Amino acid sequence: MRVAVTAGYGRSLHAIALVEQLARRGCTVRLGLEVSVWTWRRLRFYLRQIGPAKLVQKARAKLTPGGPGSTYGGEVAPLQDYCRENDVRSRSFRQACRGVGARHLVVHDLNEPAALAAVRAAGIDCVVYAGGGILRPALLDAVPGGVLNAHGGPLPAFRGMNVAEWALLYGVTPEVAVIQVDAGIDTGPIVHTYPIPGAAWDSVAHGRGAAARASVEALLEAVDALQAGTLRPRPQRLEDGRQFFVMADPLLEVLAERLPRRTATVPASRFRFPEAAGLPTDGYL
Amino acid sequence: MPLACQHLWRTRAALGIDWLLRSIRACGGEGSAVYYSRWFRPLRGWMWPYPETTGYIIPTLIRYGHASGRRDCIEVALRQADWILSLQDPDGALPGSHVTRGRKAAPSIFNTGQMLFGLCAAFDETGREGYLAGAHAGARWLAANLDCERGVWGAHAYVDGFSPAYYTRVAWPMLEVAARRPDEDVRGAARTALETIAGWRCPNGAIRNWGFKPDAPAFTHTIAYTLRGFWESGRLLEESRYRDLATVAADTLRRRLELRGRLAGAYDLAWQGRYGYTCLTGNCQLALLWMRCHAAQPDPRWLSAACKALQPVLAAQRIRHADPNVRGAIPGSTPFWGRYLTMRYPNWATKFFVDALLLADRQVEALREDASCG
Repeated sequence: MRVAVTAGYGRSLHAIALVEQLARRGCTVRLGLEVSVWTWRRLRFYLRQIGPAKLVQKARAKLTPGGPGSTYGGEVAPLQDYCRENDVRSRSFRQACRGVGARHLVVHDLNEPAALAAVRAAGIDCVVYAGGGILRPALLDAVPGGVLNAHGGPLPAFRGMNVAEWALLYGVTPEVAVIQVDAGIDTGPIVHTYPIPGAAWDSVAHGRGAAARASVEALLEAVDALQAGTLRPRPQRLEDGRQFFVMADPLLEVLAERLPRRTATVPASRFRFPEAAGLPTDGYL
Repeated sequence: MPLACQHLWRTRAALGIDWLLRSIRACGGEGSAVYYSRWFRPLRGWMWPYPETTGYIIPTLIRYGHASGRRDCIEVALRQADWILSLQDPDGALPGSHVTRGRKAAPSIFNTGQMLFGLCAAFDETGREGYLAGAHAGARWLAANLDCERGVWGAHAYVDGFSPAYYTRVAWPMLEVAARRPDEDVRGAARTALETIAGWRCPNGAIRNWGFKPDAPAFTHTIAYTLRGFWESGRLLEESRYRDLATVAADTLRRRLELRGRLAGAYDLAWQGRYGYTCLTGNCQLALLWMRCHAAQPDPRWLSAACKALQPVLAAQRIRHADPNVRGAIPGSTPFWGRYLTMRYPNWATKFFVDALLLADRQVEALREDASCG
């Protein structure tokens, strides 16, 4: 099977691991599409989403994974462990692509004409998405086998961002769901689900890291199934889910406090959002 | 043990309350000054007392007094309610604008409505009939002045001849009064006004005339007035229609906050935002509305958005300042020269800020106690 892999930035362990592991599983990685971090649009998006202080913290952790004192360091550790355990040695996405003989292309946006032309020219069967922003229909339509993406939380209920955290706040067992990307936000058919070990959620940062590791493993299993012809996509109903955004810090604090004393969680398959609880009786003049 | 965010909110709310009390002391204990500004009032800083916002600061002081155990806040609040009663005309009307050297301005529909909040809160606190009688007289004056044929208040307006959509926030206190002293005339008039304004709803959920002027982009302050008025009126009338109308628009604004990372200072009817500044009062008011939505139908996305909306307000609150009269105050806009209450610290910005912090604290505490969001 001929595949392309995307990367949200050059040192993405997630994307590096996928390139090397896909090649070892018999896939021909033909193209690596790396989105340049240094675009004003992207910077502005992150500034709005997480603010300048967190952006600097996040960038520092991504550039020096596992650096001391960084809350984002805990996020990176599980993927570093995965790379060590699986002998993933490349230091950058470019190096990983070159190592497997794939073309490496840096773009500002995955939907730009140069990226589309590269995808078409590579004659690939499927794109394995490992970051890089929202995909537009032109790119989705250019790949016969579609684009596979590992969503970090249970679907169809939890769409959008920080979904593992939102799921835990609702008392739902977090899991990774691999979907075939469509034009909506995390609304594509579900092709595979993969558990995130409950023990990993001793802290929010560790849990996020475990989810990132599970995403790599889930995508590899989904590509295996695609190669074997056993992939069974399950369409989602729009009304079964909600779109979530970045969780505000006070709620993260509540979650962090709750994690160590967390008991049972509800499996994603049994979860339904609570119905209306009725109007409040207390006035608030 | 409070979380770090709760500790921060409590500290900041205390600073805000101290500033509100200072704004009342500056007026000799009778009314809270409209705003503080060395740019507009270079000599004194404090503007004249403002009955309208003093009215709705009363429930804030009472609520804070109970939450913090500060009895002095409740005593000050009740003195303000007495002051408001002293301003009331025999027909029940209450004055607009500020009180300059003891002289009150002409009656105002909107301002009368806002003062009813204070009288209701004082009645709830003390059980004294005088407060409720004053509130009832005010509500009856409002009902009597409604143009029943058009379903609008034509006179005693902020802009002559313009009946804005934020008069939903006049219907709400009328219904609060009617909930304490049943009166079908008051209730019926409030419902008529709400019906008229509900008819101004655009297909995209925006509501015409919800700004200070017709056809101009509306500050988030008056948008929130309009929506909260619908929401609370829906609660009091037990009509989900009004609440749904408010919820749809509130959700549109919530999504805009999440996607853009912040709220605009004003929006036009196509939801195009004016992002050059943030109306901090509007942020606090929308945070309050979103938290009310969360309370009615638990969905922590509302609470998350509310916390994000409060972030720029927390950042803008003056903590250390050479001028002690500024400490604890919330500017009208950020940046300070933004279009809403330019270079001023209005008392209602701090009022809504304290309200929002108290409610956020309560809701985060509830979330801590709950095993899950359900």
